[in-house]
Amino acid sequence: MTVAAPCVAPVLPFPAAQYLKAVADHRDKEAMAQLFQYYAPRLKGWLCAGRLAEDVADDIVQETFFLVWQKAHLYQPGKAAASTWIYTLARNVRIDRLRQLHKIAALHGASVEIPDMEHEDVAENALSLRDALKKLPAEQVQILQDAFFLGLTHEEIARKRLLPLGTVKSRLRLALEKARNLLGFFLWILLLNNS
Amino acid sequence: VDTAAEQLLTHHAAGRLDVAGSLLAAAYREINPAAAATGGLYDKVSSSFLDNAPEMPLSAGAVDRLMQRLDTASDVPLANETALPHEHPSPYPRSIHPYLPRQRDGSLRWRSLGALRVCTLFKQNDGSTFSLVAAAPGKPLPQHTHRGEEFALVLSGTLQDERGNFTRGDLVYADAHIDHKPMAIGEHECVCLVLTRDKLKFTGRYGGVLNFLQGSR
Repeated sequence: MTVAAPCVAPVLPFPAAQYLKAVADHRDKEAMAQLFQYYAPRLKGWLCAGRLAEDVADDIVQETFFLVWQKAHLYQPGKAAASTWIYTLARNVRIDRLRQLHKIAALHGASVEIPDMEHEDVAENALSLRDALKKLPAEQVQILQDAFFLGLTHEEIARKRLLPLGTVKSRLRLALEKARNLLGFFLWILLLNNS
Repeated sequence: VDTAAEQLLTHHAAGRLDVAGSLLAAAYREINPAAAATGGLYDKVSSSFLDNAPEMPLSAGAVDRLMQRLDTASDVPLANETALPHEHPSPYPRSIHPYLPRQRDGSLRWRSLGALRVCTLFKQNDGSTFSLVAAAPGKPLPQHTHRGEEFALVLSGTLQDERGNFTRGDLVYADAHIDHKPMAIGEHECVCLVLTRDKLKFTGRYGGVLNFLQGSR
């Protein structure tokens, strides 16, 4: 009797860092289009979940990718995942647009801050974090997503998930603690592999 | 990094803050190493969800518009691009430099408000105020409660209230539940970057006058 091996197609992560490098080194427009195709709808989904109007979100996404094109050479692969760099850039463009919409005066030409990630720890990249998050129970991942991606307050999460406020807080704390510890664990593996 | 500070950093990472909130969080991460580390981790947590984000189609022809724009963009300053020189040394976080109101001679525009000096960066439509507030040591600030909430990031000097002493890099939070009497202590003025959501309500002896002054500024 043979046991059928579970048939799960491996999901390859989107090679964002390679595309970014191609943009920086070779001004590769095809790579640029790939990045846009993958990230633009996701960034728009994230922006609109934050109660932004669609046309404003479209505009922020356009500006973000224009800056990706212009600033790709500032991305340092060893210091942060490409997705983190693009995400942070979009976040900064969002604030710049809000500043303009609300007519907040900035004296000497404030512009969009390009994430430099200078304080980032080389080994702690988002790829290992994504692996770390996979090890967490689904209920903890859900709550992390509510707080860190949808930006819900603890109270909003409690209402959405029908949980007592205290449970939300302790579950978040636990999830973060675990993510941090798992990151430490992956860091070890990385060091062992490299030595 | 306490609960209020943690929430600020979380909302910053999630990209859900308004302009003043984002600048405050950026300044906090800039001058407090623990906040920088926490914020860095939070950015990674937030961005790790991007792959599974709900996808929303862009308006028709979005990618073509981008490509056209890239074609017309000047491609010149690529390598060796360096950040603009910053004012050094400055006690003020780099993030807020573009928002500091200056006089002709380049000095900051302060005005007096009782025992305080205030330099307002900007006010938002929702009534939030983003300012530098300087307090002389030894003079207790008027006791106040909050109708909204207040974040004070200490930039220099020492601030003391019922909860303890706070120095550069500390973020002090107060809301409607806290009736606090902060005071600068030590030898130097205490300067804070303060985000006030809705107006403070002064409750002490001169409260009425101060509420009036605040409303009239």
